[in-house]
Amino acid sequence: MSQDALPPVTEPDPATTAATPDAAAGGRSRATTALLTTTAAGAAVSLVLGVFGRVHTPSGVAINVAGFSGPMEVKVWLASLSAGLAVVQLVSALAMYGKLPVRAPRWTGTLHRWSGRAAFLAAVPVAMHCLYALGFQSYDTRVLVHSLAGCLFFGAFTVKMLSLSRSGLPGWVLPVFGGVVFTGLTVLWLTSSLWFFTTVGVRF
Amino acid sequence: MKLKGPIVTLGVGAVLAAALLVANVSLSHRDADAVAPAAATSSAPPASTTSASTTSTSATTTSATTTSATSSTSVASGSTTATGSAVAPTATATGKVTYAGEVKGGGSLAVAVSGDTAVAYFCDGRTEAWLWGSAAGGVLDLKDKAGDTLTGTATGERLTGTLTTGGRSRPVDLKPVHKPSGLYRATADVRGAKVVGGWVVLPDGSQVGAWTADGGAPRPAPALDLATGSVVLDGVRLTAAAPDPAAAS
Repeated sequence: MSQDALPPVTEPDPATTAATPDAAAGGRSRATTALLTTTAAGAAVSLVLGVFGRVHTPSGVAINVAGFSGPMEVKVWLASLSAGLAVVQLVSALAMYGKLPVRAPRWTGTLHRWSGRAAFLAAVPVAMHCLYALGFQSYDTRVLVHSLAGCLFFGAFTVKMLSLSRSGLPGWVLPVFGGVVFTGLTVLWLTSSLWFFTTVGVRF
Repeated sequence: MKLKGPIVTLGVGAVLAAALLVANVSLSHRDADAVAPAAATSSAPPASTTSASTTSTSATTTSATTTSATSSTSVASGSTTATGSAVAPTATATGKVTYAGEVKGGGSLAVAVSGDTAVAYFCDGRTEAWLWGSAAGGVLDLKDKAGDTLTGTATGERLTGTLTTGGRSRPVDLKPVHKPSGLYRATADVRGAKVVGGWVVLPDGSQVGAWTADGGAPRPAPALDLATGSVVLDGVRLTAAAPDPAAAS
């Protein structure tokens, strides 16, 4: 699925290509290799999650967090925490890229990194419960979209994280995958937490 | 340093996921004796024995016992109620016998006979049929509203007959089974829809089940936790139990 979200890799951003033609060609092939390896890793993550969720027999039970009335409530609130932090991610990223009318404070980068880590770590237990107890399901549209978005989210997040540690990538890579991660998480939240709040109710 | 941060983040997430997976797997084995079809054996695990004996106690009266689906860890919403008739599908002093086995041509069939009535459930994972009817004198005459039928004889040692579902007839030859094998049914009102799940559990531990909402198309059901009868359908935790043959529905 990650591949589907990928823009063509053959058109590197002029801003990141080097001045001389030779260096530009070298930069292009390095960037292409880096893009291919990171997206391949992300695609593998998506695939593994989806296949595990589909093949593994859902247990129906999984460990719970104390203080909540049930695993669904835990997941709904952890997912909401993650989605809320994702909004922080979007705003801080826009600020870092100078897309906001205000000048980004010096701590914007730190805020972006730590809110991202927190959002990711809050999402992991939710995904584990989904995968272990419920599995990849397709019996209605909401559930299918949710299952697909879950696989996409962790795959795209992997690409985004790996891309951060690679140099020479075109400038559009991080915003694009950041955007895919944000979109994935938003779809996940809409198809689970919002659904839960509107059909079951706001409960703890 | 700066470049390693994202890798560390990914690693921490992977470690957290692995830890949760290990915790879940050990929980499943300890708490629920989750019976994966392939891994199950015919001998009842300790937790199942406990559960089965408590159920049998309430089962000696053949009346339906209402079981609440909600427990401290359940998912059931406030508007959800689940009932299951807790009648042990084993041969008891009250003359209740449950037969189960595979059907030639695919699918599993379980038949619970209690006195003069019987309930049968056929499921192949895609299609299913609940059949109710008479078992007076050991002669079975079961049917459903769709015209599916099960006819035959039950002796207490063996059940033979003919099953017809979806216009297709095939012979059946079943033997009695004992808990946790047998027939399970879970019903609930989930957000206004009547959800019905059914499972046939064979002596080798394999199970097949399906569920419907408001009589719609059957969907493959997740595996039952045989120790507790617990299962999650449509995001709601239900408790499945042996159905009461007399409570035709």
